[in-house]
Amino acid sequence: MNSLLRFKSTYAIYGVVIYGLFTSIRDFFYIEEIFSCTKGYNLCHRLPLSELFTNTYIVQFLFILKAVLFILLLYKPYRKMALVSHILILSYLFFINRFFYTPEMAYLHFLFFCLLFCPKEEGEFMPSYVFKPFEIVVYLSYTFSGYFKMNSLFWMDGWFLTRFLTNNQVVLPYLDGYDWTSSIFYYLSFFVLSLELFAVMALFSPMLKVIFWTGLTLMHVTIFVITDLTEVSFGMIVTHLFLLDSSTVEFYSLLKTKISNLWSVKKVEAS
Amino acid sequence: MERLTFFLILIVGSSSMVGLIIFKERFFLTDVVSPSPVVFSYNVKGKPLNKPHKFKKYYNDGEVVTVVVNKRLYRSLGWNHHYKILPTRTLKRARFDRENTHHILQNFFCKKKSNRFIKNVEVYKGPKFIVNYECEYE
Repeated sequence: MNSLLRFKSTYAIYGVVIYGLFTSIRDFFYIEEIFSCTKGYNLCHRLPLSELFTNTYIVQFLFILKAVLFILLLYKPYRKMALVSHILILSYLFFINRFFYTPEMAYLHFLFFCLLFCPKEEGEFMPSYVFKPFEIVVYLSYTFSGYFKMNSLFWMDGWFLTRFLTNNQVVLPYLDGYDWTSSIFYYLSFFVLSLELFAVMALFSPMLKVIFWTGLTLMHVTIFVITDLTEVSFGMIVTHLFLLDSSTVEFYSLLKTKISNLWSVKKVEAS
Repeated sequence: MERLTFFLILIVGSSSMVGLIIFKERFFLTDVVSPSPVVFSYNVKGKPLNKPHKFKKYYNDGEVVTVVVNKRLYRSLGWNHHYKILPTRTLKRARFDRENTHHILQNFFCKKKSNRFIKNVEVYKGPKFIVNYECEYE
């Protein structure tokens, strides 16, 4: 049991670093479009002195700084400084262009905020007074998201996945031509919706936590594998890695033992 | 101190959701550290977005092609690939007398590359027809 939690405490932060470097490098090449505010599409949030601060060179510098800070997250003595700087830089970038936003960003930045309160010696292995509110907010936000989706005809007619995967062309090229109109996607749409809607129930029992954690993680892994919403799903997978707790780990280690026992019995019978 | 931290994290984390419930609007400052729903089914203000934008392109040879706005479309056009900055807000308030909208449509669709070009573009909000835009060529 401990080995998985130790793995989480040591390597989950690497996921954040990979995510940060990937997004920083990718967005670096589109800085002019995203932050220059010169295209005339009225997307930039105008602030006093914004002309001065929306200088492309300043934003380019901030992106390089952001990438360096992500690497600094790996070094515990500098971690808190890096986390605070990140939150400040992101607030600044949000002010320039508030459309510079994807859903996973808020989760990761909330994670950064939580990590700020972790004692240095424990690293990202969160104490309960940090882990509990983190868990509550994440599961609650899933339920909230599910509730909003219920207001949408897009979701409630049951063909969201089919429509999304066929019309929007977000599927990766290796799945081009796959038939997404099967009725399984109808049921899968409602399954995903109910997973999100009832996610808050994970807070009430360890068994439900295992179910919802696994379901939601698998959902993001599937999105990662079949669509090109890479940064969203990868960011959420990293968040879920931090959401892993002892009850889930305990369940899976028990499952592993049972399967290995079954396997060894079969081997003995065969021999 | 631990209890204080517990409540501080809880309050900061849920501020976006509380804002949406009370004020029915998103506050972008709280979005920096507070998760709240903003996925394809609702717009930036958290209100349901049941009707995505759709365009019908009419070519001079009679062909009609339907296009739904998405990330890949923007990438293929070589323009702002970032779906985070899709000009949906501009289009949502679609007042087609505005220069912005004219500029967007002209840039997206009305690029004459060969003898085959787009004559006009119809814009829909879901099934509802909004406007018929005629491309301008020099």
